[in-house]
Formats: sequence, C-alpha cells, structure tokens
Amino acid sequence: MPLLQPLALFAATGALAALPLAPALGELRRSRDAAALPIRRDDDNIRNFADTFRAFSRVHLERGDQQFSDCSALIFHKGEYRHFLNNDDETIRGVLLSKTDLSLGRGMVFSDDLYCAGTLIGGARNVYRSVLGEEDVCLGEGSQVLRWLHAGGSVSLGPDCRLHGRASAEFIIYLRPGCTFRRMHATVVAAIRDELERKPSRHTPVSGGGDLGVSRFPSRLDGYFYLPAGAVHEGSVIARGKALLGAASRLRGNLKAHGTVQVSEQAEIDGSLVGTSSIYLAEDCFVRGPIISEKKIVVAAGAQIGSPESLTTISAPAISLAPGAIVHGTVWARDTGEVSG
Amino acid sequence: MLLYLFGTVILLTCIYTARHYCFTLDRLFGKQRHPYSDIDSAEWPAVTVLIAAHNEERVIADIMKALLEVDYPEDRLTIIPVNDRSTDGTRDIIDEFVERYPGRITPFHRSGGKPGKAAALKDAMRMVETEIVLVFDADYIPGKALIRQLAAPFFDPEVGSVMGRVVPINVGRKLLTRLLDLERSGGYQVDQQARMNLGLVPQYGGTVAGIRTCALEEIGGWDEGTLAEDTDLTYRLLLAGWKTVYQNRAECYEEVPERWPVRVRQIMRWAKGHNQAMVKYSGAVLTRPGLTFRERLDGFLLLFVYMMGPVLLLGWGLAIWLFYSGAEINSQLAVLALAGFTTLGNFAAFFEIAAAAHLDHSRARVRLLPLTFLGFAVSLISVSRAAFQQVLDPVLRKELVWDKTERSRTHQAPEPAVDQAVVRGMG
Repeated sequence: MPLLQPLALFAATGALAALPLAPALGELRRSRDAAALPIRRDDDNIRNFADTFRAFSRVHLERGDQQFSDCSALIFHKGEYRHFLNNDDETIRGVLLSKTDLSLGRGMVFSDDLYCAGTLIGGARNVYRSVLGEEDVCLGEGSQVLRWLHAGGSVSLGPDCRLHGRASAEFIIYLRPGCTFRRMHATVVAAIRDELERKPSRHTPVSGGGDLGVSRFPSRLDGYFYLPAGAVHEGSVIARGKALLGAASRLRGNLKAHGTVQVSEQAEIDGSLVGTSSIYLAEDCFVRGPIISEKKIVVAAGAQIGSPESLTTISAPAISLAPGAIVHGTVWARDTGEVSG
Repeated sequence: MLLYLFGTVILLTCIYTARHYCFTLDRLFGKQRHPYSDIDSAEWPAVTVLIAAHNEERVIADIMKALLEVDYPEDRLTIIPVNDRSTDGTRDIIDEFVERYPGRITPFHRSGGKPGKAAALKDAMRMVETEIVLVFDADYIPGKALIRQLAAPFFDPEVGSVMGRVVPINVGRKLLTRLLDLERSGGYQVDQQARMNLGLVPQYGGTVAGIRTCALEEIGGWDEGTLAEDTDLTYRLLLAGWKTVYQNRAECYEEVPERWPVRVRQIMRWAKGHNQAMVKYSGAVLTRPGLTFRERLDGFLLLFVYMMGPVLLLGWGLAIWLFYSGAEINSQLAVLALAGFTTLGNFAAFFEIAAAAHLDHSRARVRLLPLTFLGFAVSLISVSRAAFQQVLDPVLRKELVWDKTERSRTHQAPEPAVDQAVVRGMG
C-alpha cells in the first residue's frame, strides 16, 4: 500500500506529462502530413489556365461533334452533350463549347467555363465564369468575368465591365470607362473612351535593349528629387523623400522614391520607377521599365508604359488608368484596378 | 549581484520574446509586403547563377537540370557551377552537362586556395560579367519561375541583395527533418516576411539568393575569413546603404540534414559565423548614419540572436542556484518576471512556428510542435558550445574551420508536390 500511492502518483504525473505529446507521437508514427510543402514549380504564365482548358475543350468538341455534327455550339454538362439555346437572360449550366464564331444574347449567366473557337461577341450584362476565345473576344456593357479570360486575338470590353481575376490577350486588351480589373497581360493594354481613340504606341525602346533596367551605383538623396522641366539626368536615383520630374524632362536610369512620385507631362524615364508611396503619371509621359508602387498608381491620358518591343509590368494595390493611357505588358492591381471616367 | 544578473537575463529574454510576438502577430494580422513578386513582364537583366559545390556528386546534377529548364531568356542566363576542390565525382558530372548542353554552362573548377564557400565564390566572381549574381547551394532544386522572382527586386535601384524562401524537400525522412521543416517555416514564413513587412533587416541567406555586383564591389567583395558569409554580407550591405529584400514567393526546395551530428555541425558553424558578425558590426549598426531606427534596432537584435542560447542556459543555471541558495525574491515584480521568463519567453518561438504552419495551410504537421522542444534543446546546447569554443579558440590558438553540410540524397530528387494553386484554379 505505501508503495502503491507513490507509484500511482508517478503514473498519473507521467500520463499528464505525456498527454500533450500524444498528437505529436501519433503524427510521427502515421506521417499523415509529411510531404514537402507544395511550391510553385510552373512558369507562372498567365496563359496556363487557358492552355489547360483548350486541351479539355478540344477533346469534348470532338466527342460532342460525333453526336451533334450539325450543331455549332454545345453544352457539356454532367457527362452529357446538348444543344446550346441562345436565349436572353438565361442561366447556362455546363461548359459551353463553340466551334465557330459565337454571338450571345444579353443578361445571360454562364455558371461554367466558355470556349469559342472563333470570335466571341457577348451581350450586355452577361456573367461569365471563365472565357477562352481563340480569336477576338468582345464583351458587352456591364459584363463580368469571375475567374479568367483569354483571347487568341484581342479583347474589347464595353463600359463598366468587371474582370475579377486574370485577363490576357495575345494582342490588345481594350478597356472602357468604368471597367475594373485585377491582373491583365497583353502586348497592348489600352484604356479608351471609344473606337476612334484606338491609336498605336508612340515610343520605341531608346537604347536598343541591354541592362538599362539595372544600373550601377545610384545617386542617393536624403531629401526630395527634383528634375527641372526639360532637364536630362543620367543614372539611377534613390530619394528618401518625394520625387518630381518636370515637364519634358528625362531620366536615363531607374528611380526609387520613398515619398510621392509625380512624373509631369511628356517626361520620360528610361528605366524602372519604384515608389513606397503613390505614383502619378501625367499626360503623355513615358516610362520604359516596370512601375511598382506600394500604394497606388494613377496614369493619365496619353501616358505610355513599356513598348511593344519591350513589355513591362505596372503593379500596385490600386491602379487607375485614364482613357488614352497605354500599358505594354502586365497590369497588376492587387486590390482595385479601374478605368476612370 | 546574481539577482541583478538574473534580472538582466530576464530582461533580454523579454526583449526577444516581444520581438518574436511582434513578428508573428504582424504576419498573422498585419499588411503583407510583396512589392516585387508581381513583376512578370520586363526586359529581364542578364544574371549569373553560381552553384557552390564541394563534393556534391549526389545532388549537383539535379540543380543543373532544374536550372536548364527555368523560364528565363537563355541569352541572359549564365550558369556557373563552382566546383570547389571536390574529390568525388562532382567534376565529371559538371563536365558531362557542359558537353551535353553546349554554351549553356560555364564551369569553374577550383583545385586550390582557401577552403570555404566565401573563398570559392570570391574566386568565381572573376568569371562574372553580369550585374546580378544569384547563388545556390548544390542541394537546391529551383522551380521554373524562380530566377525571375529573384531577379525582379533588382529593378529597384535601392536593392543590393535578395533572399528567397527555402523549403525542405526531404521532410518525411526522419524526426529531425520534420522538425527542421517546421523550423524553416517559422524562420522564413514568419520571421523573414515580417521583417520585410515592417521595413526591418531581412537576412541574405547565402543560397536561393541574389546580389548586385556593384553593391558587392562597393563593400569589398566576399569576406573569405568568415564562416557565415551571408550574415556578413547582410550587414556590410546594410551599413553601405543597400537594402536586402525577402521574396516569400521565390520558393526553392532544399535538402535538410537527416542526421543529428550533421545538424549540430551546421548550426555550430552558423552560430560561430553569426557571432563573428556580431563582434564586427554591432557597434557600427548602432552608430552608422543613414540607417532608420527600425533597421538599427532589428539589425542589432539580430546580431545577438545566437548569443541568446548561452544567455538562456545561464538564466536556467542562475534560477536553480538562486532557488536552492535561498535567495530572497520577494518583490511581486521579480515573481512576475520569473513567470514571464519561464512561460512566455520560452513559448514565443513555438508560437511563431505554429503560426507559420497555419500560414502554410499545413494540416497535421503542426501537431509535432511539442517535439520541436527537442530541436530547440539541441540548438541551445550547440550554439552555446559554439560560443564557448569561440571564446576559447583564440586562447588555444585554434583556427575556425569550415564544416561542409553532409548530403543524404541517394537517388534522383523526389518529384515535387503538385502545384495546388494551379489545381485549385482550374476548378
């Protein structure tokens, strides 16, 4: 009996001490979560979703064609194929597969992905889950794309369209006032007011390639950086304060500023532009390299970023493009992107 | 006197505890900074990738194969395996790749000179002609977008170096690898990213990392006399006005040690190298103009991080001594401090690891958290031993020796896990 009590105490203490270790020992023995953490191994190409969906669509177009050879557009839903009826205000369940050009009604909701082997013309206020058009894609006013959109040709969005995920085109993406976006990529991303405003880019690379984006030994300024109107500065600059580039000035290098950056009318930066605060690009200015802001980027009409020969990236939590602004490459708004009215 | 010493230990522990909590809470609830990770179109700069390799026949082929498949303009990518005095088959494997992929790989075979990674990289820099240099250890397996992710921050002219995230690939092999997996998660997913968020001093880690060559020139190149060239470089760049940035999404697989003696040697080398940097730079970090208050504070605390091992051991010893010697600890403050030291202080690092596992969407691995105390204890003793050796070595006239981390890979690199982001995205 005298031995039993200490033993019982010892056992109880041991059990209590071991209790927190039980889940650990269980996991160690069974190794249910012992694989390496998944990391990105792909090339992060914006077209990846489209490529996978294209392969899927072609297989099902072929199979569906065996059942409905006379039909140009099919719905594939729960393992079955059926005719697509193009009625206004209808909700379409299943993947829509079209082997020719397709013109859609208005007010339609597509709860699954849409594939069009030709040109797609969407009616107003349609809602799409994902869209892949092998040629041009034109979406009507007030339409929404919930996940991704890719066009083998160009994309044209009517006023007030909303792109909630990725959008890409092999050539041009046209956005009209009121459009919102997150991540876009095309050789040309142009905010326009109407068809007449479509115009080619003015600028071409100034130095014919090379490592202009990465320059040696930047100038460091404790205060603000001011480049007077018409002046030219050679070399990269790091400013602890604000930066102001006067009208028609030119910076041959990269610029980093810890305050607000204002690039005035017709000013040019031949490298990258990085700001921890907001960046304002005035009318007809030009930035050749990437533009990164940790707050917002406001691009005025006529401003151009990158060139068709040298695609680049513009990225910030908030981006506002005025009609007439052109970006060559990627536009990535982390929180909100919009085309101003 | 001993009570005051104990009080100092408690104060230091509380400072580092607060630091751990700041990092973890910022990572869980703060605004996250990934300013460069969105750059996916650009006129990419020419980069040179240096692969540090000393007797790496087990792993060198995997990294060269992976680098040949990365998505980066071929004419802007130079791959230089730095074969540092290898006595195994490393040279033959490299030469075989050079022959098989003409023009893609420029080997650097080093047969003599000072031992150590820094010395080898210093020699290899003679072959570098690009403005950006990326450095990988031979046991790493880069993904396709990794070179772009590491090159992107250099569009910021203030960035002198960049550090990516290291993810263990041989997680399930042993208890040690599972513990190191959790430890790495805490170190990168929370610690490094929080430093990036808060404008502190993210650390250049020497692998899955990049450096601007003009910044390297400005600070005098690699220091071959240090055991932790990465920490040394972080501080020299900081003091010269260059920023080190962390890219949490620039992830790369590595092989972690599978045997405890290997792990002990690894952490002892890190501790000694870090302590070298502490002696060299702690004064300058406090006094050099141009640093922000945050950089000064974090830089200083980071330098002393490996000294907290011996300090904790001292605290435990003092606590036992004071208890049994009947020392009077009668004020409530002392009791509170003691309670804080023994509970919160010791758990802050574990909270960080648990938060990292949560951020990584880990499921069951976080259950191993109580066992990380084992890794913690081994690290504590190892870094303390390293500190004591460092004090004694000059007296005993012993030289600091570079201990290479032994590799365990015996087969081709395991297939990487499926990219969940892409799978989820397809719906």
